[in-house]
Amino acid sequence: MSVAATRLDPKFKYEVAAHPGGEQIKVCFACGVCTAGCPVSEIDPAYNPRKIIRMVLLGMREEVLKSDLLWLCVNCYTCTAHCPQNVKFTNVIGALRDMAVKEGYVHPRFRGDVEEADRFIQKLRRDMVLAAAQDKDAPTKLDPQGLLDEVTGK
Amino acid sequence: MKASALVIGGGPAGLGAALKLAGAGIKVYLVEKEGAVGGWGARYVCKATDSCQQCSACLIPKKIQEVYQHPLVEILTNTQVVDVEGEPGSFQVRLQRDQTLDPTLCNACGRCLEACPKAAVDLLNPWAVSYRIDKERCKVYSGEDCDLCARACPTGAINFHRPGASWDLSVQLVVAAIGHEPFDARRKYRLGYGRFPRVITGLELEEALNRIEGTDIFGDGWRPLDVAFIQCVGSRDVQEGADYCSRVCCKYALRLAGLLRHREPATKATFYYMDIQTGGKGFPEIYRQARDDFEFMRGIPARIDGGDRLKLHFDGVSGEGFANREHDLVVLSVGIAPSANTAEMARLLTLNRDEHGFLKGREGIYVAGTAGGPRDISESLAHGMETAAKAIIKLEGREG
Ligand SMILES: Cc1cc2nc3c(=O)[nH]c(=O)nc-3n(C[C@H](O)[C@H](O)[C@H](O)COP(=O)(O)OP(=O)(O)OC[C@H]3O[C@@H](n4cnc5c(N)ncnc54)[C@H](O)[C@@H]3O)c2cc1C
Ligand code: SF4
Ligand code: SF4
Repeated sequence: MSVAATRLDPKFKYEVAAHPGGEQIKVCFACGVCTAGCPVSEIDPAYNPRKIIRMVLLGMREEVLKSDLLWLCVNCYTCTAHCPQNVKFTNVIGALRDMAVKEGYVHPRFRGDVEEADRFIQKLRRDMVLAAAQDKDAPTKLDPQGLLDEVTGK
Repeated sequence: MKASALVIGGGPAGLGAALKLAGAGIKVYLVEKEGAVGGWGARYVCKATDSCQQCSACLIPKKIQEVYQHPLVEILTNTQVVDVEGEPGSFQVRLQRDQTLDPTLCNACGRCLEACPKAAVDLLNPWAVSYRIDKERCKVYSGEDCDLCARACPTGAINFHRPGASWDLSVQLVVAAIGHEPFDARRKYRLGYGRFPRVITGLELEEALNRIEGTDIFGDGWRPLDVAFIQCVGSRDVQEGADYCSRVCCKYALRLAGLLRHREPATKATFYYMDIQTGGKGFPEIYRQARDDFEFMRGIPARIDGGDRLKLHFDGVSGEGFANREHDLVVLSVGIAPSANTAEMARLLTLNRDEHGFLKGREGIYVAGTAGGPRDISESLAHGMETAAKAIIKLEGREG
């Protein structure tokens, strides 16, 4: 992605910061801990929280809001837990998704689908924790096929 | 009236304050809770390679010698302040001394150390004039019966039944130089400290390199050849209440890497950092050299996995994204946190603390060195002297 100076929007970071969840974005000092701990970045290095923040701070409005990458976050909150500056990147992603929908970069239905997938992931995580908590010796009692059927609506 | 002062803490800041006060003819009681003065810095290694690297570690033995030679400084080790009353210009303080080991009888022969099954009697630092008992390791302090060291001592310096001493002093002013604590790396669970033996702190590397000549830091024949330094551990971290730069970690880490390489030229080092603080005497040149000798990776790792080699998970050179890399030793460059007894001292001396927990002085009670915020050795020493100079002016004003 190249930085075309003419398309930089210096107001972008203030808008994100004004959005619920985006408040802390300006104090990021680019340590990279968010990316280093992100399970999505581990699979697809193109998804890079630190870089997304830099792009917002630089004012790369269009590149950020129309990027598919915005929708890869699985809301695990690892970045938020690790950030030394309390940036709460998970919420920043939420704010950016909101803005992307409001500004017409994606169809509102897409956001609904993603939210549903997010909820499923939260449920999966809860079920795994519960299974592990209830039976410490057999955390594998989970039924992955059943869960898959559930999400694919079979 | 002959003036007198209480200096609490015998690190560089306390030593500097004591020397300045004594130099002005003021009687100084230098109270140190440990068995020897010198503070943390007395345990650090001289980081000279072929040339001096200006780390200031050598300043400390010089200053220790000066205070021992100064007739107006009374050094009280194993001693704590337990009560302070009065007002600026006239304080009554109560001191308490643990006398299990009498430093005036100890001649540092080391028989106690040979006798102790826990290696709990030792020299706190290489400049210590007497042995001390490490209460965390000594069996007696955890309620068990033992007097092997006392029986081994030829001068009777150790006696577990000797009662402690308590006495009162009158002083005109107090300098609190209680220092700092290195950040507790265990708090960063994901970096593996305390779980993986080859994840160590900068303090441990300082002490190990001070103990040995080469790079066999664990004393088992193994030598690190591929070292990762992780910067800002416990600094610039809002989550840890440490929203400040510790000012010393970049410097000691770069110098330690240089020393490792000087002792073992095959040593590689990689620095994981956010940005390097390059201020300070002689440091820009050291940084320039380090840029040639070592690798710099702009990203703090999120996690370390253990194993034969340690696997770091980090965001590679900006933009390239997530990466893994293995190293055989990880050094956490821990920062400066407020001393563990800061809250207690604040209560005792009726002092306020700043937003990060460091002490703030008030009239008649001065705060010097890292007790008041991050500083390196020479800055702490200078701050101790400066603070004492201010106190002297104030005192003379009051008397005149
Ligand atoms: C890992 C590490 C490496 C470092 N390396 C370097 C380096 O290479 N060069 C450099 O310039 N700086 C270095 N520093 C910084 C250096 O340690 C400090 O600048 C210096 O120790 C500060 O001196 P101080 O007198 O303020 O405190 P301290 O060194 O902490 O001394 C305080 C003294 O007060 C005593 N004390 C505390 N409470 C009481 C009490 N209630 N009653 C009586 N006595 C008390 C303590 O026992 C101690 O002796 C390093 C720091 C760290 C964490
Ligand atoms: S962890 Fe926090 S401070 Fe570090 S780069 Fe990510 S958002 Fe910025
Ligand atoms: S919340 Fe999103 S951005 Fe943060 S670590 Fe999880 S997947 Fe990555």
